[in-house]
Amino acid sequence: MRSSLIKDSTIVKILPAFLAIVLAAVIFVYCIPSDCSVAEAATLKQGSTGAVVKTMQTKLINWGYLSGKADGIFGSKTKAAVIYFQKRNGLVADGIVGTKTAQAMGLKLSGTTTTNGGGTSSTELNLLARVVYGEARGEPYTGQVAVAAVVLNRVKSSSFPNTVSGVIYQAGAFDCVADGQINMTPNQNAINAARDALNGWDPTYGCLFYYNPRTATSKWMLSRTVKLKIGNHAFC
Amino acid sequence: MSNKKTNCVKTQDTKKTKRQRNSRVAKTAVLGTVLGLCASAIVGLSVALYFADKTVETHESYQRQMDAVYFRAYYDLIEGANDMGVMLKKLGVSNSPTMQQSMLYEVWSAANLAENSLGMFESQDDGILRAQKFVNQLGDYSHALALRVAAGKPLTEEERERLSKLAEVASVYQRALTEFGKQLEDGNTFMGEDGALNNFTAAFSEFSQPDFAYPEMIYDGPFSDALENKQLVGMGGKDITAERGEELLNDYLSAYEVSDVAYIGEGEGDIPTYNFMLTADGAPAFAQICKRGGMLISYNVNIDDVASSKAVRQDAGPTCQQNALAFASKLGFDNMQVVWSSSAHGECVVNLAPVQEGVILYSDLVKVKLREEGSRVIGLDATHYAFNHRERKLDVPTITAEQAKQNLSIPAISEGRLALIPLRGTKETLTYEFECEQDGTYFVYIDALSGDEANILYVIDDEASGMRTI
Repeated sequence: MRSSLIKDSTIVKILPAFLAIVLAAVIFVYCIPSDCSVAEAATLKQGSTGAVVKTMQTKLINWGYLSGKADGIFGSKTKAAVIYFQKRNGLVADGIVGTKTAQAMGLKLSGTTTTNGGGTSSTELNLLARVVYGEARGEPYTGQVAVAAVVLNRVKSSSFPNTVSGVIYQAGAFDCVADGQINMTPNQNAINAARDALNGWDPTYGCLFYYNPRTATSKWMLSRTVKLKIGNHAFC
Repeated sequence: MSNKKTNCVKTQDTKKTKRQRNSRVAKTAVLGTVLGLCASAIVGLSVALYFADKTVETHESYQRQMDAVYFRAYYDLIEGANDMGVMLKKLGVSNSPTMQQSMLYEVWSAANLAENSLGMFESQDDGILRAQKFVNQLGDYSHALALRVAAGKPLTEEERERLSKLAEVASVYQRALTEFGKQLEDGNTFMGEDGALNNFTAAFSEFSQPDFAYPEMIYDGPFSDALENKQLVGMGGKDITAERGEELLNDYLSAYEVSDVAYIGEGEGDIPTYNFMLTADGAPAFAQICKRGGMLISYNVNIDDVASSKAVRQDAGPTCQQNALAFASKLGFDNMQVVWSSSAHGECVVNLAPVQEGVILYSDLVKVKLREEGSRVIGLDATHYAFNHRERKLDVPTITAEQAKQNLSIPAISEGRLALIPLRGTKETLTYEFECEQDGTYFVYIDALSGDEANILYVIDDEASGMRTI
C-alpha cells in the first residue's frame, strides 16, 4: 500500500515534467525548419534486394561481368560479379557495393537527391535528364525525348540563351526549376530520353514551347499554334 | 471495546489523513501539470519565435541575394547595350580594317554580355524573345564579319551603313533599360510583391510592335535567318495520305514482327509528319513518316527494361555497320557509307552519309541505332537527310590528299578522304578528312582547294553520354 502510494506520488511528480518535455518537443518539432534531413549511407551486399540491385545487375550483365537475368536479388553469383568488377576497376574487392564501387558503376544507392557530374559532357546530359524527369516522367517515352528536344531547340534558337544551363535556368522557363523537382534523381528512362535528344532525335521538328492544355493558364502560351501532341503535352 | 473504538477512530483518522493526502496529491498534480504546461508552452513558444525570427531573417537574406543577382544582370545588360551602341556607331565611320576587326570583336563581346544578362529574366513575352534574337544575331553577325575582315576583306560601304542602322536598334535597348531603371529609384528592388521584376518584360514592349524591324543581317552563322527558316530540300515526291504512310511503315519494318500499328496524329513542326505508335518485336515503338514523299524519318523502339534486350557486344561493330546499311537501303537511302560508329550502354549508333562522286556528304547524316549483337535496329533518325540531301555541284580538288596531309600539325592515322562538311551552319566546304592521334583522337579537315585548316573535331569518349565529337 505504502509502496504504491510512493509510486503514485512519484508519477504525480514526474508527470508534469514529462508533459512539459513532450509539449516543448512537439512545439519545437512543429516550428523548426524541416531542412535537416540526413543523407543515409547505404551499401549493397549479399542478401540485398530491390530495384537498385536489379539496375546494378543489368549494368554488370551489359558489361559482361555477369551472365543470366537481372532478378533484383544479390546472391552469390552477383557477389562474384561485383568482386570481378572491383578487381578490374582497381577497387577493394570485397563484394560489397559501397560509395566508391557504386560511383564506378554509375549507380545511386541512397535516397538523396544529389547526382555526380563527372565531366563536362555528362553534366549536360545529367541536367537535361533531370529536366525530363522533373517535367515529363509520367509521359510516353517519345514525349520525354520531345521535352529534351525543346530545350536543345531553344539552345539553337536565336531567341533564347545559347547554353543548356542558360535555357533551363532562365527565369520562369520550366516549372520543375520553380518547384524544385529538377533536383530529383532522374531514372534510366529520363537519361535515355536526354541522350536520344542529344544524339539529334527531335520528334517535334523544331518546337520551342510545350504546355499541358489541361493545366496551362498563360494566355500567351495558349495563343501559340500547336504543332504536335504527345501524351499530356502540346508542343508548339 | 475501547480498544476497538480506538482502532475505529484510528482507522477513521487514517482514512481522513489518506483522503487529505490524496487530495493534496491531486492538487499538486493539477498545479504541477498546469505549471509544467505553462513552462513548456513558454519554452516551446520561445524556441518557435526564435526559429520564426531566424526563418524570416533567412528569407530576407535569400531575397537580398536574389536581388543582387538581378541587379548584376540588369547593370551588365546596360553595359552590353551601351557598348554595342557605341561600337556600332564607330564602325559606321571607321576605314581601317584593323580597327574594324577589333571593334567587330567588341560588338560580339558586348552582344554576348547582353545576351547572357537578358537570359536571366523571364522569357515568355514576344518583346523579350525578339530582343534576345536581336542580340544573338548581332553578335553572330559581328563575329562572322570580324572573321571575314581578318581574312583580308574589309567592310563594304553598304555593310558600314547597315551597322550604323543597327546602332539605332541598340538605342532602343538603352531606352527600354533607362525607362525601366526609373522603377529602381528610391530604394526599390527587383524582388518582393511590388518588386520591379514584375514589370521587366513590359519594358521591352517596343520590340514586340508589329512595325519594329531592323536591317537583315546576311551572313553564314548559327543564328542567321537563312538557317532558322531553312527549307526541306531532301524530300522529293508528292504528299501522301496517312493510310499510305501506314502501308509504307509496315513495309519498311517487314523484317520485324510488327503489330498494333496505331496512327496517332500529325506533326506540324518544321518537317510535317504522320505519327504512329506500334509494337516491334514485343516492345513499344514510335515512328514518324514524312507527309511529303513518305520517307521514314524517325523510328525509336523504347526498351526501358534494358535487361530484356541483349546488349551489343564489343566486337559487334562490323555486324552493326552491315545491318545499319541494310536497314537504310531497305528504307530507300542509297549510296550510303558508314562514317562513324560508337557503342555505349548496350547500344550501337551507326552514322551513315551518302556519297556523291567519292565525296562524303556530311550534312546529310542518317543515324541508325542497334541492339542484340547488332542484329536488331531500335532507332533511326534521318532529319539531316530530309533537310539537306540533294545532288551537289561539287568543286574539283586543287590539291591531293598527300599535299593536304603535309598541312597537318599532328600525326594522321588514316588516309585522307574527301568530305563535304557544313561550316557555320549554311555553308559547305570540300575538304580532306584525316583521323589524327595525339593525346586523344581528332578529326582534322583540310580545305581541298586552299589547303587551309577548315575544321577540327575532338572525340570525347564519355561513359555517360557515349562517344561523340565536339
